[in-house]
Amino acid sequence: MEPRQGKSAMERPLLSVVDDDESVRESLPDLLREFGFAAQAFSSGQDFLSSEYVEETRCLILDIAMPGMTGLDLQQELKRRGQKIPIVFITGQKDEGIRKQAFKQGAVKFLYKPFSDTALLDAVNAALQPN
Amino acid sequence: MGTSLAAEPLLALAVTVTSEQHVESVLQRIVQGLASQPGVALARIWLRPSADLPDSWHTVSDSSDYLCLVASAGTPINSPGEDWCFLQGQFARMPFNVGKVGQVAASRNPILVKDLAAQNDWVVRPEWAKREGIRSFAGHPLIFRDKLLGVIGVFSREPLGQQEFTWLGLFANQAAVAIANARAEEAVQSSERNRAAIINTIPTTAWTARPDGYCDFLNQVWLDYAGMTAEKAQGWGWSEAIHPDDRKKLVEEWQSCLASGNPVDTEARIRHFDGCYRWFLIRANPLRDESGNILKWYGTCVDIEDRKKAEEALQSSERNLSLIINAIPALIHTARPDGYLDYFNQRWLEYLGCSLSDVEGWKWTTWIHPDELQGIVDKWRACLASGEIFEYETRVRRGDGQYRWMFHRKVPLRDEHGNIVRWYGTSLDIEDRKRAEWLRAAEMRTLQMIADNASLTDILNHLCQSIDLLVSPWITTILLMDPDGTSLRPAAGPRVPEEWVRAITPLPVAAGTGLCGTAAFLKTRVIVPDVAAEPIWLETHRGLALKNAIRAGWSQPILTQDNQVLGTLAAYSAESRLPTDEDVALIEAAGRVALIAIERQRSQEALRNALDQIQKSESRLRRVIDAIPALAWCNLPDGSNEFLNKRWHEYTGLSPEQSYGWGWQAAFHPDDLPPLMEKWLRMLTSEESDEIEARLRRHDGVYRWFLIRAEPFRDESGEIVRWYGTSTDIDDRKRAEAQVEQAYLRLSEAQRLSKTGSFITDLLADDHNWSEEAFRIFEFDPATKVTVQMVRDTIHPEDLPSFDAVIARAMAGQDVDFVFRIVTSRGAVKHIRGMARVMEQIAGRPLFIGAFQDVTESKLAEEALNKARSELAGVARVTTLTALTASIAHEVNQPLSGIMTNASTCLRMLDGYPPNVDGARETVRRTLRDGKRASDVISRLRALFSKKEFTLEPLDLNEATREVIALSLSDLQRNRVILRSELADDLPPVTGDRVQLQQVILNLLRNASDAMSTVDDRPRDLLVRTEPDEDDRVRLTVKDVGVGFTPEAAAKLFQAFYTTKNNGMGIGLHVSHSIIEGHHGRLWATANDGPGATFSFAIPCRREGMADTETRADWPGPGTNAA
Repeated sequence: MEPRQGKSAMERPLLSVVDDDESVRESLPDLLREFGFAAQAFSSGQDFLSSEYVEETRCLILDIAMPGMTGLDLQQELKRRGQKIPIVFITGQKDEGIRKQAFKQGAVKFLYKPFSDTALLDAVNAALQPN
Repeated sequence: MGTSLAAEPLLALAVTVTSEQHVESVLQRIVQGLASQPGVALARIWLRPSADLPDSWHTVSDSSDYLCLVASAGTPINSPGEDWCFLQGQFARMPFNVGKVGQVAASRNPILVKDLAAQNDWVVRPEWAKREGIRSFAGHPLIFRDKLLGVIGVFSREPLGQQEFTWLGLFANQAAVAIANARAEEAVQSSERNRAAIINTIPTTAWTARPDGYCDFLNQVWLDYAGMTAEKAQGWGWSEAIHPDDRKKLVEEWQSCLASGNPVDTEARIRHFDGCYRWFLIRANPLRDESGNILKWYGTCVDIEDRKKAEEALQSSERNLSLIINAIPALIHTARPDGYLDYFNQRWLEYLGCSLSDVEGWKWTTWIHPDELQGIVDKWRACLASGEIFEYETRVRRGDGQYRWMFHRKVPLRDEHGNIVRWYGTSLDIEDRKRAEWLRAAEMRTLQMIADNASLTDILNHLCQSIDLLVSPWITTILLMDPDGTSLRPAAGPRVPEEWVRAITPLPVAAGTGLCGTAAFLKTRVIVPDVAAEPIWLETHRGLALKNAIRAGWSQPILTQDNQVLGTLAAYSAESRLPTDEDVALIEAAGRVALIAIERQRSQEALRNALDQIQKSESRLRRVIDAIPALAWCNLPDGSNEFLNKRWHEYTGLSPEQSYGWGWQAAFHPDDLPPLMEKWLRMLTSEESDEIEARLRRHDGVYRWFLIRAEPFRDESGEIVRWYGTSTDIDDRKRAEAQVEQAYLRLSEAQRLSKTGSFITDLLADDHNWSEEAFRIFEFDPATKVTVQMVRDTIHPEDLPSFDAVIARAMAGQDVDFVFRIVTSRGAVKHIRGMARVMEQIAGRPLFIGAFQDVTESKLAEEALNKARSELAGVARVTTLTALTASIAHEVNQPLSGIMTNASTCLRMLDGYPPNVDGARETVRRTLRDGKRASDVISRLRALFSKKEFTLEPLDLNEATREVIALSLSDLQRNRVILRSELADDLPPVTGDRVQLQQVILNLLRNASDAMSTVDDRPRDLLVRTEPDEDDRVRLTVKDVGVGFTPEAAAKLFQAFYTTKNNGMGIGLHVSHSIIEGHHGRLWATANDGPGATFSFAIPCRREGMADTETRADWPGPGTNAA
């Protein structure tokens, strides 16, 4: 574990969290920062897409069930736009069909809520691996 | 050194050489003779090249410009091994002008080289001359009759002087003659050899004889033919092979020719080796020498047996022919190859009444009828050119001036080379045949005209025309008898003067009324040879007749078989004459044809009249048939149609041509035709009258029902000759029938569906007419006769009193209504409700018409519905549980996730250096909050699923709504529903069962979500709104943009089991409705202006003084559903 100040904000990889649940938006970025990443939270796919962080984002931590654009929708939209951001899905609903669909669309990891901090770190590290 | 060459030995040599007959010997003698002369070393002869070729010796050519060494002799003295007789070698060919020899040949002058050593340039091989001691050379040309034969050269060891040179020149001359002679002799011998070879190989007999007649040669063909050996035939032996009859004559002729030297040309039979004799032409010519003496006879014998036989045959046939020609009664003539007719036999000349000089050559043409003259001459010329057999028909003028038809035929006679030598001709009198032909043709044409329905006038005119051509110069006319039989009228006679016919007709039929009148009267032929002298000729007409060139005449009555006179056929002649038998025969025949034509015409007229009559009566009949107000028809025994009346055609629009035979089938309906045909064929077989119903198409395409009746019509023997039928339109009746039947069926169906039976009852007579359904309700056998007692036996015992009362009232003639139960034979209990009304009175008895209904099911349904309501709520709860599990998991996992994340973060913050205590505190605070949130979810669920009774309590509808939204949010999100809530801030509290109202709200939300599940073209917006309503009510509205509902559906929305969803149970809205009603509220639905529907309910606000809590136990537990 690197010291928190080990990297300047500019050097840290940016991780974006998209979840409609406020508690996730509050807690997850803090944890990610504790891991040493930069983190941004968005309440919807639209918010993320219209933000300035899309290009910068190295990994997307994405909820599945959201009003309007779902996590899978956002995944497809990014694909359509040619954005190859590795995605780690997080969801509270056990649904194998959705999981398969997510992997089929190129997801790196798929975590069921609640998940441990190590599971999350493993997933993020996997996503940040080249290829 | 003495003289080497002397004159005498040379002359002797020359004489010897000349007697030699062979060229080779001559040459050898010369060179050897010369070489043996004293001093001579070498003697040689060169000849021009043709001399080498024995076959061509006689054709020495001057064009050859070189010489060949042909003879050489000499003795070498100093050249051992050399052969001076050798002809090949350096000097074998000597071109002209080359060397001494070539010089001699080219110049034709002799050369003498006296001293070879001195005149060195003349020696080709000086060393040879020196070695052999050659001193001189002399070369002389060999010339015969101005032709250079060659050169002779002599090399001498003794010097040759001018004297020797001259002697050698003389010798050379003699040698040339000897060579030429020998050549000539060889040529003769050679040609003799050739001749013998030729004679023996030619395929004819040949021979030679000496001048004295001695036959010295007979070729192999001759010997083979006669089977004689050459020895035996030689001399005069051949004469044994000559036929004894010819031998003496032949020998005499031969001796005469030998004596005169004239060529032999005679014929004789020579015996074949098999003993048969064949004729030979024997010819011989003498071969003479220059002085005219006969050297030899050359002769041939040519086999002429076949030609001889042909000649003999010809001679004999010619003999026979002339006999035949004279004997047979035919007309014979012959013609030369150039077409000149040179012979007519006697019969011909007699026939023509002239002498040969009048007809020979081309004069015969004057006897030919002018109409055929050009044709026969052209034809004759064509045959002369082509050699084809000549055949032609013409009329020929006989001696008496009458033309008769004749058939001429001429056949060419050819010699052995195929050249025509003569034409032999015959002519046949074909007048009779011609007349018969003409008559037959005229008959045929006339009959054809009759068949073609030509007018009688045309037919008879044509007939007269035909006869006029034949019996010319007669002209014919036909008069026809008036129907009254008193006079004759002109009918035909195209060549008879019109003036004359007009004058004599109508001609009375009586004796002495002219030619035709008399003939018609006497019914026999009348002949007037001379009008001028005829007593029966009317005096008044005599002059007119003569004026019109009518001098003779005869009339043939045209008689029917029963001797009725139909008319007359008369012939007039411009000259006084009698008709010939042939004329009579012809006219009689023509009369028969005329009879046929006239009778035919008369019978046709009769037929036409009869047909008119028939047609008239037929059309009358038809009018009657057509007037029948039915379709009438007549078919043949095989079933095909013969006649259909006008109405039928008018009705169907089919023409008689279309309907004829089996065409009428087209008018029937395709569905009806097969059964119709089946029945019709059955009728034809059974021969029984019957009827069929079928639809017949009207001309406008409409089908109408017809009743078709058919009746067979039989002849005397009982055979069916026709089927007569009518077709009657029964469509209206049929339609009425069908309507009644259909109405009955419909009624019956209605009764069955409504379980309503009907009846007509004469109660006093116990006579009941029940409908099918009435029987079914009572479960009676429809075949049984219903009685009051039977009915009473089925009545539920508890209801018997009321039944009896009803019957009693009805017996009294009153209208009755009734309700009772029956117990059927199967033990089923049925609730019956009914009524009976008096329809009319019959003989004082009331006649009831009534109906009753089986209301068992509706009664049962009512009970069942109540039961179902309570059951369904439970069922719905169970089925929803699974669906809710997912939502619950989500709701719980969400805060749990937050808790875990926060806790992890907290730990990390505390583990840091320095520990981030402020951050940790914040995360712990969040953890606590999420924990409470999870706890809330659990308690809400517990409340939702706990078995709670209906509890009225004051509650905040907004809060209740928020909870429902929180519960269903994940569901809505899964359906991509975008939920918007507009909850009024100042909403007054209401009183109600929280859980039940939440069920209603949940139900409305889920319905809205489901209604939008297929919406993809617009956002699935869902609005939940709360607001105060009038009359102290609070209203909640759920508005979607889904499929909505139709106005018709609006009324049924809240009925149980009504659903617009494919997989719903249709209970939700019904239950919701009940719940809201339980709250004294109202639930309603409206269709949006745009897509989707809006569901609202309004319930009263909490009133002052109202109990806080009220418990009701009459409602089933709460239930949600996914309906």
